[in-house]
Amino acid sequence: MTYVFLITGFLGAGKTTFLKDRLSSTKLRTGVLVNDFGKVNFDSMEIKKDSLEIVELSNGSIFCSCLKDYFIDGLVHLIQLGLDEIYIESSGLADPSDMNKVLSVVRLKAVNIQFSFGGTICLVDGLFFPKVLPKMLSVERQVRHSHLIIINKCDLINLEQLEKVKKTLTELNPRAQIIETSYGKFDWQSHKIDVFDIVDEVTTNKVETRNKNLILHILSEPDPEVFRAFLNSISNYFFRIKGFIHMDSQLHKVDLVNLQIQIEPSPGLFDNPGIDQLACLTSQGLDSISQLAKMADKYLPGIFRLEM
Amino acid sequence: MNGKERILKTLKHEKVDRVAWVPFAGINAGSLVDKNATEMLTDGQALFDGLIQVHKLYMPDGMPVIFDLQVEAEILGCEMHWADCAPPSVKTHPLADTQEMLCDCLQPTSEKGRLPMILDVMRKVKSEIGDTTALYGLICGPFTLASHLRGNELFMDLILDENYVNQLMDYTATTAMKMVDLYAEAGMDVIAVVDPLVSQISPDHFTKMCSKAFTTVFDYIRAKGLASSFFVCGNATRQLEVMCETGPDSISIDENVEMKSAKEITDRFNITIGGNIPLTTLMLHGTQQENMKYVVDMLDTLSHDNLIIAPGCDMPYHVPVDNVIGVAQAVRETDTVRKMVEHYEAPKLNIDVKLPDYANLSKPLIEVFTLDSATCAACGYMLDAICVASNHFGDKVDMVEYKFTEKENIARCIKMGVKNLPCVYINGELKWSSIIPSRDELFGVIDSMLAVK
Repeated sequence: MTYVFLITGFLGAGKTTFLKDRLSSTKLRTGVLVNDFGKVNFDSMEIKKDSLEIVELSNGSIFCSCLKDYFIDGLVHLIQLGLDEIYIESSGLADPSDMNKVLSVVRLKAVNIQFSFGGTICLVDGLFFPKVLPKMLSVERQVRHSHLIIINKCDLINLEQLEKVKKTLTELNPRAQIIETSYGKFDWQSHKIDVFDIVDEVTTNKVETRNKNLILHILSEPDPEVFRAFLNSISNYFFRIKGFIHMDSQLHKVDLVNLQIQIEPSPGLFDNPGIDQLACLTSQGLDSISQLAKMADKYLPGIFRLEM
Repeated sequence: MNGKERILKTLKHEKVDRVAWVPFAGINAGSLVDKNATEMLTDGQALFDGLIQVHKLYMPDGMPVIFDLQVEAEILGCEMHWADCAPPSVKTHPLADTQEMLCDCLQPTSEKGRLPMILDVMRKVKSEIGDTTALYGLICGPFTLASHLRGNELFMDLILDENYVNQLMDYTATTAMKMVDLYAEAGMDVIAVVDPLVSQISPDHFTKMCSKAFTTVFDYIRAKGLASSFFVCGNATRQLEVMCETGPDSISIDENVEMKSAKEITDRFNITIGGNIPLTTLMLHGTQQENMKYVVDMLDTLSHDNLIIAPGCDMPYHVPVDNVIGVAQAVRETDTVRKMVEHYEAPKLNIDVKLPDYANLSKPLIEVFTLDSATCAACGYMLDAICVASNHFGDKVDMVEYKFTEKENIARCIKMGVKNLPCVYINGELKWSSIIPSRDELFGVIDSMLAVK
C-alpha cells in the first residue's frame, strides 16, 4: 500500500526542511512531487538523492488549472511505481481546498493500484503567521484544509505568541491536531494522523491570481555586502526570493521571506556552472519588476541577466 | 563609425559623425525579392532574403527584422486575416465578450506561433550583417496588444472599468517582456515597443492606465543591456510628454506629428527622436527628388543631435525602391543631394474631387479617413468602431472609408482640410481626430443627428 501525504504551508514556513528531515530518517521507498513557484525548482535541488523518485512541477501552483493536469498525471505516475510513501510538497502559495477532487481523479486514473491518502500536513511559521494570515487567503485555506498542523520555528517566539497562534489555528480548524516544533522536526513514530473528512471548496489558485515570478541570473560573484544591500533594496517588493549564488568562491543558499534575508554557505549541495540564480516571486505586479530591474542595474551592473 | 555604432551612440545621446538612418522595411522588403506580405511574414527564407536586399539597397544604419504587430496576438489566440500587400490584421479578439484574464501559460515562448521562424531569421541576420548594422526587434506595445485581445470594448473599459484595463495592461506588459527575453537572446540590439493606438487615447488615460506598463517594459529593456524605442503613429502630439515620461531611449513618430516641435519636447527629456518621412504622399506617391528634398529639408531644419531619420511607420509594400534609395542618399550625402534638388519643384496633384452636398444629405454620412485600415492598427480600430455604429444603425446612416494610399483620397483630404489621420467626419464636420470614440459616445452623436432629422 502506498501512502500519499500533502505538505502545505506558506513561503518560508519550513516545508522543504521538514521534508528533508523525513527523507533522511526513513528507510521506506519514497517518492516526492515537488511544486515550486519559480521556473527553476530549487526545492527539488535540495532534496535530490539517488534513491528518491522525484516529479518536479514548477512555475505556478499545482492547484491552479494551468498545472492541475500535470499534478494529477505526476501523482499517478508515482503511485504506479508501487512506493511505500509519496510526499507532495506544494508551493507556498498553493490553495489546496479541492484536494479531494484531485484525489478522486487520481483514483480514476490509477486503476487497480492501491493507495491511501495519509493526510494533509500544514507547516506554519510561528514567527510570521500572524502577519501573513490577514494578507494571504491561501494561508487561511492551507490551515483550514489540513489534518495536522505543525507550528514551526517555535524557538523564535515567546509563549504568548505561541498561544495566540495556536488559538487562531484552532479557531480556523478545530479538528486538526496541532504540534509545536523547530527546524521542521517531527516524530513520525509517535503521531498517527487522523484523516478526517474535509469538505472541498473552490480553490483560489486561479489564472487571474497567479503571481509574477522572475529569474535573476548572476553571471559572476558579487561582493557579499553589495549583494545584501541589493536584496534589501528589493525586499519590500517580493514575497520570496530564493536560490543559490557563489560568493567568496563558495556556494551560498539565499532565502528572503517576510523581509528576512538569510544567506548561508551550502557545502555539499549539487553544484553546477548555471546554478547562480534567484527565483523572485511578487504579488506587486509591474512595480516590482521596475524596482528589480533598476536595483540590479545599480548594485550588480554587468553581472546579471533578468528573465521573465 | 559603422551603422550599428552610429545607432547605439545616438540612442545613448552621444555625438555621431552623421545622422543615422533606419528604413522600416517590413512588408516592403518583400517587394525587393518578389514575395508578397504573407510570404514575407511566414516564410523564413523569404524574410531573410528580403532583409539582405534591404541591407544592400537601402544602406541602413539600423533595421527591423520583422514589422508585424500581430505576432503576439496570434500566439494569444487572435485569428488573423492575411493579405498580399499588408501585414495580417486581427480578425477575432479572444476577450471581446469576457473580462476573464488569459492564462499565463499562453504567454509567448520560443516554440509558439511564428516565433521559431522569426528567432531563426534574427540569428541568421545577426550573423550576416549584425556586426555593423543595428538590429531592431519590434514588439507589439502593451496597449495595442490589449486592444487586439479585447477589441473595441477596450475603449469602453477605459471609461467604465479602469481596474480591468490595469489588469489587462499588466498581462500585455508581461507579454512584452517575454518577447524582450526572446529577442534579446536572438541578438537584437534595440527593442522597439510599437504602439500605434497610444495616439488614440487621451494623455490622462495614458497616464492612469498605460504609463506603468510602458515604464516597466523600458526599465526591463534597459536592465537587459539593450537600447529601447517607443514607436507611435497617428497624431501623438498631445501624448509625447507622457510617452517621454515612461523613459524610452528614443521615440519614433509619423507625419501626423510636427517634427520640429516634437523634437523640442524629446530634447527636454534627452530622448532621441526618429521619423517622420510621410509614408503615402511622399514615399509611396512622390518622386525620388521629392523624397530627397524632404529629407534634406528635415536635416536643415532640425538639430542633428538625438536624431534618427526614418519613415513614419512601416513602409507600404509598393513604395518604389528608388524613393528609399533617394532618402538613404540624402542622409548619407546630404551636401551633394542638396545641390541636386535645390531647384526642384514638385509636380502638383492634379485631381479634381467632388465633395458631397453635405447640407442636403438624406441621412447622416460618416466618412472615415485613414492612412490605410489594413496596415495601420489605429486606423483599423477607428474603422472598426465606426463599423459597429454602422451595423447598429443599419440603413439609417451611410458610411465610407477613404484610404490615404489612393491619390484621389489624398486630393479629397486636401479639399476637406483633413489635418490628421485617422479621423471621422459626419456630414462634412470633423468629429473625432486621432481619438477613437467609445461606443456610447459614438452612438450618442449619431442618435442626436437622427433626432434632428
